[in-house]
Amino acid sequence: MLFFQGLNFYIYLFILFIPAVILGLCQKSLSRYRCLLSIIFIYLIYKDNSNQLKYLILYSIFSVYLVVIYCWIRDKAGRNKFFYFHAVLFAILPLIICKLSLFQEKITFGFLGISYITFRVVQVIIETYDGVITEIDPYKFLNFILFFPTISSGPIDRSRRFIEDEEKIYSRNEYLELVGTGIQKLFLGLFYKIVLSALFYGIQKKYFFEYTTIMSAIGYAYVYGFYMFFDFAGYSLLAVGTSYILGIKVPDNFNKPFIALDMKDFWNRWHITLSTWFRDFIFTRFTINSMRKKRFSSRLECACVAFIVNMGIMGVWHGFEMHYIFYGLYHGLILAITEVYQRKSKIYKKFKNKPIFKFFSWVLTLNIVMFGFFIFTPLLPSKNVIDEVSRTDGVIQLEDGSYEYSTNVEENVFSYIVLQLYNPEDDTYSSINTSTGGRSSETYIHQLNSGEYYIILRANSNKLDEYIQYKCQLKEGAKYKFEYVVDEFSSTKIKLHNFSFKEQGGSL
Amino acid sequence: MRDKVLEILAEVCEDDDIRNNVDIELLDSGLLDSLGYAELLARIEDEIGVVISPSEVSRQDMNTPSKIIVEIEKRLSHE
Repeated sequence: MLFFQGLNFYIYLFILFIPAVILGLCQKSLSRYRCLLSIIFIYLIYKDNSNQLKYLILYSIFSVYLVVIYCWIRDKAGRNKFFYFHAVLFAILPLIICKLSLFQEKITFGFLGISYITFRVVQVIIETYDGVITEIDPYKFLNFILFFPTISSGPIDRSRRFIEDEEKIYSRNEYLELVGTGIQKLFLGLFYKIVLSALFYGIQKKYFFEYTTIMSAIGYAYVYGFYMFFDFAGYSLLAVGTSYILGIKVPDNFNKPFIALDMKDFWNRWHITLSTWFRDFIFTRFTINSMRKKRFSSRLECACVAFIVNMGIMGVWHGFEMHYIFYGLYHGLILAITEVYQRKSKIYKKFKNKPIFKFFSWVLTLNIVMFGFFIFTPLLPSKNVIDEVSRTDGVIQLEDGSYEYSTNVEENVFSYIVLQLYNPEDDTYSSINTSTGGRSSETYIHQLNSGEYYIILRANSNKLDEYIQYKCQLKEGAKYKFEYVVDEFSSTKIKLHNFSFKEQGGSL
Repeated sequence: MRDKVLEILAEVCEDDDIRNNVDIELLDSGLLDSLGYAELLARIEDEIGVVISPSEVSRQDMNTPSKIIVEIEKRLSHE
């Protein structure tokens, strides 16, 4: 099961909403029930993957000790840079190890949501250093970092804001209003994700599957941009809506990003909780320090460097792969250019309020944004991860590269083909795709333990399961595109063309 | 203290009118951008001795000179 995916998740969610709504209407505290729900959903989602569950629990315990001990030290030693630096380092170390280990094709210390949990832990340490947080309640802290709707992909809440809601007992009318807003957000989120994101995904798959010409690459970038927006904004709305019904007013993550008139405006509208996190915890701090130390000769120079540093770190946070780093630096550079242009350009100052000027700014901004998505998605030829066909019983490889499987069992009627992932470590299968012949291509995000996997193309029949088995190495959290064409699908024979399982990039 | 804050603001925003209008919108009007905001926090700490953490107050609580003065007074009275 995955967060906000599949019917099962929603069935559990809506059933488990009922006690929350009853508690809320009776004007009782929702805190303990929320905690119980987080435990239930973490169990349901991570149970198929004992390593991830183990790391999640370990990191949670570790971070409680870290913030409690750091808070105690801060109280005794004051604003001491040495302790502060080490506390932050310890908090982000697991994330760094996890992201670096992706290069060795073997994941260490990774679990779904590690990037987002790290943000929450780091901000508590920074605010403790600033003296804004003076005490840590482990129960509330854990509720904050492990609040299930936002655990895997945000929005990134702030601890003091969260704890205010955590302690709040709503009057009946206040709670009803929260539930109303929550339901609206849930429905809008579902509409974004199920209808609009699927629509753009379909267009991408149909028309821009391969990007060979410049025009198709541009088309790909636009369609992918809209797909990413509806998918991510939809997910955020679902997380926010769920949180509202559970009494937590998690901040919104998107505000019509494609109407932005310049890139600064765009970052105030796109993934808002991430960009404000970076603004408050990196950009502003970096500029304050730079001014004190007089690192730069002018304010403008300081701003430009701060933008590049800020967005560069944001890029690295997505992963150490070159395309993420370029993505960050690209946005940093664009923000720096925007800053110089808005400060220095006489044309900008003179015309900025004219409608026609605004229109051209909008067109330009949209294209800069879309080009950014183009960098964000790796466009280099993807690596084919299929190493070899390891199970060859009854399988013949034909000269044109296709495979033919003939069954020896009489009256064996195939009914459908399932693409599965077999994990030899704990002997489990997970289904990726089911179809009845024809063309099939889809994207899959690898959520299991890392290591050696088998991709199994299983043909289910009335007599026995027949299968062709491929051996390959898959990376945790990586995105794969698979493709196959079954052109002969009869009672005795399966003929398979173009089977490939390619890495596409992606992040945890 | 109030005069000092207005002086800092006038310098950071490069606009002397701020001294005469304590309810002027600073953020949406573009007088104070993110960089100016950082400079403001740094100078409040250095020149008045009050630490305001960037994540501590929302921008809505700091968007006019009078609100900024209120935030500083709150911290001074705690000491």
